[in-house]
Amino acid sequence: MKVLVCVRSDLPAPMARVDNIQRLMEEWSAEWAGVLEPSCRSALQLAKDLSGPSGGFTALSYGRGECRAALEVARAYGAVDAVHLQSAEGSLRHDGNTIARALAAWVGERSFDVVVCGNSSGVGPVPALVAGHLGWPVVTRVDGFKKFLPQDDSFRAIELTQRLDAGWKRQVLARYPVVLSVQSGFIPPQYVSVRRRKEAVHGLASNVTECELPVWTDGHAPAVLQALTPPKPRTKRTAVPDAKSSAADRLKSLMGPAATKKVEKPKEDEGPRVVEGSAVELAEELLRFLRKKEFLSNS
Amino acid sequence: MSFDGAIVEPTVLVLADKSAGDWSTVTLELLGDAELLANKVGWTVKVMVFAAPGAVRDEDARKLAAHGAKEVHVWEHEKFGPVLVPAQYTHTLRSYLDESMPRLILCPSTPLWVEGVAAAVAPYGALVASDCVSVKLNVRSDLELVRNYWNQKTHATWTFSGQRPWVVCLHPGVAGVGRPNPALSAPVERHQAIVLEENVETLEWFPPHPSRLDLVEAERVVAGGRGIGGPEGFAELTQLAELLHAAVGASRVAVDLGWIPYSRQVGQTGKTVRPRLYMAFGISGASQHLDGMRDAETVVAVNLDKEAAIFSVAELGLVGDARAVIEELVRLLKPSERAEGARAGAAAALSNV
Repeated sequence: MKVLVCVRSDLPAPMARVDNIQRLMEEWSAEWAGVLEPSCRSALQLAKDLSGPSGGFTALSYGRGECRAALEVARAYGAVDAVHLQSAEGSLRHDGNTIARALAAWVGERSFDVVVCGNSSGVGPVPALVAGHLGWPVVTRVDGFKKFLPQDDSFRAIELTQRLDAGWKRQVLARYPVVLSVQSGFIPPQYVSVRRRKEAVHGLASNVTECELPVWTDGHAPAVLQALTPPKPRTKRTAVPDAKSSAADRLKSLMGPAATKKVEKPKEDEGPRVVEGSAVELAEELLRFLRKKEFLSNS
Repeated sequence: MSFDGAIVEPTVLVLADKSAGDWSTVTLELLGDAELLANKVGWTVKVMVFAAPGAVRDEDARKLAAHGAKEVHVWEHEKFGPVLVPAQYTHTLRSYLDESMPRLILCPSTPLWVEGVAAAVAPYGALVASDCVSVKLNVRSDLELVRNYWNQKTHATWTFSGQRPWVVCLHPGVAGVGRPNPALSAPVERHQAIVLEENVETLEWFPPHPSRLDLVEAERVVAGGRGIGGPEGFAELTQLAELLHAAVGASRVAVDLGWIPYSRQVGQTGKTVRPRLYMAFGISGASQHLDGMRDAETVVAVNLDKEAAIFSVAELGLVGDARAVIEELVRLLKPSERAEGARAGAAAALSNV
């Protein structure tokens, strides 16, 4: 089975600030020592498990010099090939749509059975977009694989477990070729010794395949990044009173408890509401509270 | 299946989520944003729902209309159960897009929705943005969206322009739900969906169990400490967790006493959780424990000691025997059979899969 794992580097946590991210996106310099993005470590572990002890896998990263950290760790995990993908215009942009196009174009010209991607928050669209472009199935949130089925040309598949919403899981039979994605911590990564890491660093210099993609265009405008700003919460929409109702009704609505649904913690000076009573009284009070907060329906 | 050449309709398609029994909050938030955008440029707000036959009643559709939907399209199939499996919707969504390509698709930014929608729209060359905080049309009628970026360390403002379709996945809980207008109505069209699972076939389902539900991901956590008295107390706590669809957590003391595995420990030396609801039973609230749960949205604490530190972070504190309160809660919640009913419904739906 031919396995490709897509990995990417991240800024070390203390450096992940808006100004640094802005600088990194504009221009990469050697002072940026990236680290492997955590979900990619799980992806590497899955790729290693899928390849088996005798097999090897290919690691691919994209971007500029910061991707080197990811490829180093990939080599330490046992990647036999390391590929650095960049576009002719200098680097792949930080737009998932463009990255997915580039990855799909590169993978489509080769014969991989499984492509494994890390997905830090789980909501990154790149793995699914790659699968969509290639016309392959995608299984996200993989948290383990059970067994390979007998390999023959007509039916090649693998049994995986996938985490769904609300604690549900399912075991699936996925036919090759397939794109898989894992989130950080779903597949516990093994420790890689310092010695192996050092060997990977030394061995990487002469063993990275540089692949340059042509500038991709389909005649339509791409997504354009306008600005990076510190995170700021959006003003929440609230249930404002109907403008057609009378002034008295609108005032009543605004003053009433149902006017807004702001979730606020108790203010320091107010303190928490503490209730004493029998177990029955306390349980009933708790249920009233849960209903008020809409954790339980009123029916 | 290229997008080029296809006519894009002036519509906003909202993908509605009803997997948890009622419309999810993010569905109503999406409708609020869709209505604002549509009113600005004269688009029509259409809603697409994937549901088991009979799961979406006319009154459910009326609720969508009250929040701004102009048309409701319900795609029904026995396999569409309470568990969201977007791969099952992909074929139906593509069939719909082949006939009617909307200008904008809005969907919840949760891992499985993003998976299903991104895989479905990729062949059309659509631009996809996930984890979005807000979306608006600028003066040139380009789509301007703000999304969480770089592990939520920053917000990035992106612009989508051109003729290709746009897909925006909205982060749940950021937009808020506006006041509905019950006087509004929308026609409901029901269609028979086709589910193709040629390449990824479900072999077995594993229902949620409080002891397996990931603490870090759980929206609700019920945690126990020394005050619930022993492993039997945790058995009752697990019952309560099942009724509330919550994960079971524990303090370090309970773990050290061997009442529950370490994987359930919340705190500095355990897991850091950020649920919407955290209920602490018999936990005094050592600073190490508080460090692991202080970001919970709503905290409820039950403890015999009125001076316990846990009450300082609790929105509601109940002074009493934690175990007795748990028993009482289980007794009060069980007759409604809400949880069992939902679970039975889920099992019945899944037995058809």
